[in-house]
Amino acid sequence: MHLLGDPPAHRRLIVLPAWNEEAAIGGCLDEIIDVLPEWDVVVVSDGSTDHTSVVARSKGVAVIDLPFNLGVGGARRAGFSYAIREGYTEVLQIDADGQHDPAEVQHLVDVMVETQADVVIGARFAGRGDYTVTGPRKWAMKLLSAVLSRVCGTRLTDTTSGLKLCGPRANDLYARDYPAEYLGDTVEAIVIAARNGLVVRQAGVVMRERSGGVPSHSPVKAAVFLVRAMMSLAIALTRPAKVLEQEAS
Amino acid sequence: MIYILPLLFVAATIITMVLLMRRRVMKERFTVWWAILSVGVVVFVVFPPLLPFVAEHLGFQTPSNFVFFVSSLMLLLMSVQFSVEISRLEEKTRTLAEQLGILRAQTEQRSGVTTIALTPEAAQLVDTTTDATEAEE
Repeated sequence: MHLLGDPPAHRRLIVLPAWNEEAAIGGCLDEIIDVLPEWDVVVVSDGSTDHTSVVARSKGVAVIDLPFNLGVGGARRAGFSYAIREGYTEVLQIDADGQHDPAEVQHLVDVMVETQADVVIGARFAGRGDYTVTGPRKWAMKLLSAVLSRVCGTRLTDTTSGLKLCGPRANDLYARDYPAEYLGDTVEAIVIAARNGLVVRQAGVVMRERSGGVPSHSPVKAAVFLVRAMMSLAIALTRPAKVLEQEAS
Repeated sequence: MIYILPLLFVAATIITMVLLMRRRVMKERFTVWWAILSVGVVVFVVFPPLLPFVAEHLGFQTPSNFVFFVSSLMLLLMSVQFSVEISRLEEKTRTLAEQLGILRAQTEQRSGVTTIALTPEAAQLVDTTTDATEAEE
């Protein structure tokens, strides 16, 4: 990937998918730029119909304007693809809803350096923070965590977290193969990483309340979440892992 | 006894397929099913005793049930094929959209020219949040 002779120095990119977030994106970017000045930022405006990309541009960050809505998975894959093309080595995926505290990012970097991991998940329920989930949704998340912990050979407590730090090998993989379906971008992405021999670890983080939107506590939605999560997991686990070999041949 | 109607149906199918392919509005791989269907119809029309014979030996109580079964099976297989094709197309469209967005972002960064229109209300929104662009220049 370093054909242009650039030394593979650490170049760090934050990918911020945003869909109609004109109200929240400005403050979110201000905070990121303030707390993490050494990181470049790219906002992926996922077919926004409001002024998300205008606000983002006014903050002086790069903006990928997708022509129509691709879903958060598509936005993230675009981010990985951009990172590869621009020669970034570390990519941080973060949500624009204010749930992820930029101050926690350094902890993810530390864990990545310490464990030589390719993917570090910023996880709730890992001893830090007091974020709680109850009822069927909790069982679903526990089940997912148990299965994915086995797949990755490490303890994972929060497999649906959107806060993730990816190293060069993970970026390369995800730029080509990143699921766009619901839950694919979290659950299936972890399976893809593990299946392709990448090291997945987690870092306990403190998460804040979302600035917009209310988390769902409806039992019906939780049941739907469980079924979809299980399907996503089953498909991902039975999928042939041939992405890297195909590329090599 | 010769059944005219099925033969007319086959002729109409083949003519339609050829016309659609000539006008390039249909790809060859979608005509395969119709070709198979036409051949099957012709075979059973030319040998009328064949249909009851086959149906009985496959365990169908009436020949018409056999015909319905085969035709619905073909429709099912065709819709599976369509689902696969649609999924492939969607994936290609997604990839194009991503690449287009990235190219636009890169062009903007290299040239410094913004490719979106700054409408008055958008400008107002930017003014109230920050004036980072002016500060940079």
